[in-house]
Amino acid sequence: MRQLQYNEALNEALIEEMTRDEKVILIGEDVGAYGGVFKVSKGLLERFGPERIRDTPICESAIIGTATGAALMGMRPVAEISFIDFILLAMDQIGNHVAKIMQIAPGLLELPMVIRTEGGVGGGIGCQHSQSLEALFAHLPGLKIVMPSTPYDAKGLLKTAIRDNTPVMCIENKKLYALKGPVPEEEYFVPIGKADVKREGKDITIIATSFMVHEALKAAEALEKDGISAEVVDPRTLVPLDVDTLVASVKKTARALVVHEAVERCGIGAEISAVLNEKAYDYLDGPVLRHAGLNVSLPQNWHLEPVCIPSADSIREKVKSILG
Amino acid sequence: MVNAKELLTVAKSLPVDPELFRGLFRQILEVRLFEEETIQLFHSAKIIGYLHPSIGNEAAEVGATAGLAKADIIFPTHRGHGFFVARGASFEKLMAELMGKEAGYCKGRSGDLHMVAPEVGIMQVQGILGSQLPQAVGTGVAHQCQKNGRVTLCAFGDGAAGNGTFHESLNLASIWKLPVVFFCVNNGWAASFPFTKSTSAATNAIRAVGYSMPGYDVDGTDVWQVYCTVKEAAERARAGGGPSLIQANTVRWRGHDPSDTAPYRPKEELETWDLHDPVRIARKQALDRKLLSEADIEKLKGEIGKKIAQAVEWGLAQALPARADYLAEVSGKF
Ligand SMILES: Cc1ncc(C[n+]2csc(CCOP(=O)(O)OP(=O)(O)O)c2C)c(N)n1
Repeated sequence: MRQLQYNEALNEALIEEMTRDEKVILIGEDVGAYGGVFKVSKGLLERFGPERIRDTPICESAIIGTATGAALMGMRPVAEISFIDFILLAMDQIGNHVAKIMQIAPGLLELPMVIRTEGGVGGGIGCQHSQSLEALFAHLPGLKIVMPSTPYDAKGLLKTAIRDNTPVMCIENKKLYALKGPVPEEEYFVPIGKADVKREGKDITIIATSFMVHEALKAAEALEKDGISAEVVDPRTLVPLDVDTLVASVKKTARALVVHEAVERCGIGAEISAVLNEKAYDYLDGPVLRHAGLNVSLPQNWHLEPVCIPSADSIREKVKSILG
Repeated sequence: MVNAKELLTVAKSLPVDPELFRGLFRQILEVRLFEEETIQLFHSAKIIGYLHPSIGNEAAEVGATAGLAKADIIFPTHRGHGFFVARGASFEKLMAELMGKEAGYCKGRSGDLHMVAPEVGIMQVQGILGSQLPQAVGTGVAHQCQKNGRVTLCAFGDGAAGNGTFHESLNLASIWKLPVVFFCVNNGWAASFPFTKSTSAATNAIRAVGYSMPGYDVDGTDVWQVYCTVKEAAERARAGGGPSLIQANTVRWRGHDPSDTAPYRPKEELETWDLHDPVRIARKQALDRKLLSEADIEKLKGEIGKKIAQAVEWGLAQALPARADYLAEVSGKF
């Protein structure tokens, strides 16, 4: 199958949806001539013009608010916030409005908007450009949240998100943009709310998100040499969470470890662990454990980064300590 | 159409003080040579992560710093090494910090984007554009309560001025008559977005009128003009006259950072950068005013070059923070 980079797959999703539907517009910083900080909107200004590809000044709150207003009038805006850290400036718009408008006016208003953003540690760029803040948004009922880990999922989920009539956040990871993977030429969609078993196994379920899926897969491969068969499940969507797939996996393995890059405390791992505790307690041979980012403000220091987030090696060690 | 010029304030031009001007020239040169070195270090992967060189902003940073008193506070921008240099920060500790070494200003944990040097009155660099403005207002509140006679200079880019914090902060500083000088460095660009497209005013300085404070639009490549303007604004603030807004216009050298090739920039603009090069301009001013000779300048370059080379050598010899020590220090603490 054809190989595409993660950012190319997202770019293709935008092109296809913008070609199909004139209501789809793009709003964000450096999304025009520059083609986006991570090159997701490359070539779109030339193709669709400045009315649909809107470069903004530095005004995150206004970017989200503007997208909201446009969506209220039936447009399908895709707002880009290049680093999830900057979304904190738009927290009122997202938390008090985007997540709530449809519930305030049940059946009266639709809000077909997508917020694309990214998180993750990488390259030594410090605490205000490396956070993984997905859990903040999972705490706001009214937002769907997808976190694609592969080019295939990225394209399929973004297309589904754009066609959804409710607000969807698509949270990417800076370490994924250059990742290559198979992406079919023909049109396809990935459903929101459906997890994906990325690798089958029988001794333990590793539930990993975003870039950590790849670290978990590497760890699973290495664990094979240790005689451990690990299953790797990628929820792909955090809200709504595909509880059935997670429970089915745990039923099979009786052990679960949740891995994410976000800091451990109140991360999505806490929610997943609680859900498994409630729904899969009878099948578990031990507690659901977490292996996540250190509870710390990330130093701007490439040398210290590995201490702050999980890696294939640390996941492997953690699994061995659980099953050892 | 409103005539922008009529709304602006122009600072009284002070006669050039030879001794002071020579000092400013030296600092401009220091910033330039320092940044040329950091760019080299970035390309040879001795500085890893972000780097936002001050090239193009030297005169603005040096002139603004000179217009303040020693005890005054500065909030630099993310492109703000020049403020550190102009305040006499240690080249060794600056280089070490940029290299991520334990001996740096922030134990190698803050780097280019979050550096802070309280020992020379410099508050933290912000990785979030515009967040320094309300904090600067807060320092103004403290100066007022403490009656300490201090002033805060809050620097920010033309891009950062797009954020709501700009407007909220100016309003607050004005209603409370706080001793704050808002210093917008307009280098023409915010990453790939030009000032002319991002800003609905001919200059941010006009916006001062709406917040009932003086607005100055100055040539940020002319160190003496910047100095006179900041001095006037700082003295007004110190005397209880409230805040001012200054826009210092400069030209950004090349890309946003050393890895940006800036394909979006018009060729003519890049080709005419020399005309806006603060070092060339200050050099010509120094020579024309007979404040320095060619030989003096060469000697100065040699001296500064040596000082920077020593700082680099020292920085390179320093240790990275030990991972185990770091882990032990932060685990379970936050
Ligand atoms: C709130 C926020 N939005 C976006 C960014 C990304 N960003 C970093 S620097 C920059 C351009 C800044 O332009 P300006 O303020 O004019 O300063 P300059 O870099 O030109 O010196 C952008 C968009 C950021 N760091 N913070």
